[in-house]
Amino acid sequence: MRRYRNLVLTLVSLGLLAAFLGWAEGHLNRFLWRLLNFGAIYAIAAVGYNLINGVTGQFSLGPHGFMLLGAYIVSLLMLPLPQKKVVWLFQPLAWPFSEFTLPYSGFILALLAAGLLATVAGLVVGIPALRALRGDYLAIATFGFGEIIFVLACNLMSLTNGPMGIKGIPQYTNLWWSFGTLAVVTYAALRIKHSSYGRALRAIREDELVAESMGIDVFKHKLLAFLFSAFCAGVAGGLYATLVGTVSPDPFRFFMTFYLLIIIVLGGLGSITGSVVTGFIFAALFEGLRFLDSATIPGMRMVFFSVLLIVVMLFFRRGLFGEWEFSWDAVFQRLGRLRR
Amino acid sequence: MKSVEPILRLSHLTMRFGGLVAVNDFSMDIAPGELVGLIGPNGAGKTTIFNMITGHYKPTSGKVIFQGRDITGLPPAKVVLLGIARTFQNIRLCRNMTALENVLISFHPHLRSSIFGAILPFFGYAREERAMRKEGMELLARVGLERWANEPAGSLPYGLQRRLEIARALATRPKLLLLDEPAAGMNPAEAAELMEFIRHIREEFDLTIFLIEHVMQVVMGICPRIRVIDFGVSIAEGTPEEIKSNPKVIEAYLGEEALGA
Amino acid sequence: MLLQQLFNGVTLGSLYALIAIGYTMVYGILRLINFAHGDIFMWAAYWMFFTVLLFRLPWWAGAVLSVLFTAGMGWAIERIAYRPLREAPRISLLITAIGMSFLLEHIIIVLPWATGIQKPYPRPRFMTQIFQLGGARIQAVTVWVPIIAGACLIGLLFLLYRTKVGRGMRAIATDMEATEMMGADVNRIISYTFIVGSALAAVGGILWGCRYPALTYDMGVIPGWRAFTAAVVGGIGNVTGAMLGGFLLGLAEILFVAFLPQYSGYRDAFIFGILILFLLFRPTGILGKPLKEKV
Repeated sequence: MRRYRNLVLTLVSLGLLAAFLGWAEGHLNRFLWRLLNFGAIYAIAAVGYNLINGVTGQFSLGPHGFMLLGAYIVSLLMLPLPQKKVVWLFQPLAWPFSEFTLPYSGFILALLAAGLLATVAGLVVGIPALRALRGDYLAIATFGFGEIIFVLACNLMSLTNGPMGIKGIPQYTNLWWSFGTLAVVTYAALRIKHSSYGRALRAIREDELVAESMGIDVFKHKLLAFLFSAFCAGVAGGLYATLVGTVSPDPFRFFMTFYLLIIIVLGGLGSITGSVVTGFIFAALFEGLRFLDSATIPGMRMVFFSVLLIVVMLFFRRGLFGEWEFSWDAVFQRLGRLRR
Repeated sequence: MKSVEPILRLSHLTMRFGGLVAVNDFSMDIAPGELVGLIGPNGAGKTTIFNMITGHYKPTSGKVIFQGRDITGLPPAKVVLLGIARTFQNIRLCRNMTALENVLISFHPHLRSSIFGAILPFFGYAREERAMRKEGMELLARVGLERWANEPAGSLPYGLQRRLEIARALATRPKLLLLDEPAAGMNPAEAAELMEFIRHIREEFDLTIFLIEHVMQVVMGICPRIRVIDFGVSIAEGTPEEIKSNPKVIEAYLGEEALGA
Repeated sequence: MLLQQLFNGVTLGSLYALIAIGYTMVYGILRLINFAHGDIFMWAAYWMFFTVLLFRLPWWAGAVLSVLFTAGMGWAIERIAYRPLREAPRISLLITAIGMSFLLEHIIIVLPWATGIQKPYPRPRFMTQIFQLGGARIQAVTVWVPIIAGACLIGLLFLLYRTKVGRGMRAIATDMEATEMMGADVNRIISYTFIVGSALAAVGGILWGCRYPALTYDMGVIPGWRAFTAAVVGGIGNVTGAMLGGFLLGLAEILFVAFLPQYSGYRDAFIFGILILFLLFRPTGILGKPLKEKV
């Protein structure tokens, strides 16, 4: 009985959301429209990031690298051919990207390619790093990976056009794509977390030794979570590229991971739905605080975010939601308690 | 008398850490269904022996043979799957997870669904989950913890936490159970309860139990056979009466808590 | 020409070594990678700018004040942001350090007197004089840096091995709980560690400015990571290792750029590659001892 109630509630909510998105696509002012898209994109990356950092407790500092990979592969696959000739001035674009481009109908393929490329990179980094390293060292190794990706992006001119970046990317991202992807990855992450795999991941976070003593292949499970986070970051990067229309190594430097850290810490390390909420909150703050930069001095915004992160870590370590996940059952429990 | 193949054979186990020899040439056979105790002063090497059996340490020399199979040096996760479970001296539970979840973790290695099966709705994962939960609740009931199924493990009283840790070990469907100082921190009443519990699960689950303990009341009370080690070397073996009156054992414990319940 | 590069390598290596010591000392006692350490180094150079160029103090006074202020900042950061988290999970500490690093960088950006892409740096004549040494034309600073760094190292070793505070630092690095139980004032010793580490980084920052006189808010980032790599290579937690790692890395960097100029854009990737390789295959570094977890 309860399962049917939950299912109906979920479908109705999705329906309402779809109706809102339909209206917003046509009628919402462009500023808010961009904001919602950015929020969803940050949330997509944050959901994956929370699975590895929060739920599994393995500290990765590399999602900016995965996002960069996703952004570039989507750009290379979808940039119109004439634009490809214009952008790559110093060195012609490498084969095979120089020969073809995907039309709009191939957008989903491009996004999947972004996720896939990021996942492959995740294997390259994750297999040695997760087997041998823990804690701070794992963080540093993944950070190093992100930096190496950045350097490669700046130097492999024939693929990335270096620091000048790529312009003229078709702006295919809209609320349907970003929210749709968000719904898919959130659903997947929640299913993982609430399954036996999620229990295994949480056990690894609490006590790796104990998890191992119960027969769990700790390395394999860490890798699964890591690859999921890489996939999400890659897709988020791809959506980012086709939202902004240009791509360069610059937005994918370490501060992108810093933003994701703020998002998952604020939402609660371990709360998937929390990260969805704070993804949007962060996007709103980010845009909203632009005024701070122009009213006072450019850079105040980052001062605010740094202080926010430190304050949350010192005083509100569990963030807004701790490890709590949104569920209809929990909502009804709360309501039931209020009624009494 | 027909001799039975030992379920566990420890053959000349030695563990060296740099210059320190923690365990020296330790050999022992345990028959299926036995309840055997291992005692000795602090630092004698008892937990080290357990760690060598479970694969947390790789012995410097010697062999661990389980059910006729050489398992020396296998990683802990594999050893568990072969049928040896253990508990730890300081209770290591996942405190923030419920009692039921702690038990369900042990079932995870036997899960058939892949992670994709867990994500996608129609591939039979839900059925497996239901079966696991049912079995988990049954196990909790068999050890008397079903009331606590949905409480965080950290909120259980100490004695019950110990019982949950044992339940979690039982959930891995072991044939041999290693208990590392299960009575630590218990008062005599709790220790007596624990003794009953250990006897009960040995019968109920058809186990062989190998027990390290400092609390003499427990070891002397339930183990028909006891091995004593000191400084990594075996110094005596026998029934509780024999051990209590063995001069070497008394000497080893001089300055430690008195022998005898 | 090679001689010139060797001199440059030694100078750069000394600078990295001075910064690396701070990383390694803090890691040794707190097991924390102090992300903000590279930015401390940057702040020292900016303090020079403030004291000497804005407030017109003589160079020597500015240098002393800069070291004092920077050491003070290191102390304050530990007290405010790291000490409250001493019992918290390690990830929390690392996240806070990251936040602190960004904060330090952006305070510089918003500070009205420090804004601007690049600030000039006060360089005294005795540093900028150029002279010949064995066929190479070098700036005086190239010679001063290794000398000063060497003096600092000797002073540090003296502190660690001949003073009570130093003994305390080494004791905490081995076993914090035991040291606490023996009655040592762990908090005070940790504070001293941050002060000393920051002071050394400050010296490094001041000398760095003499060699590379361009101040930017992120000038501490890359040297910070190089220095951290040096600390890992030499053996994290080991002060002599930090010096050794610093020199090796400085020389490696200069030679890399000298002999493979077409790959100089990949310099950072090269350094991080070394870091990752060491973390994976030799995490205790050249001089370190392997660790073992107790079950």
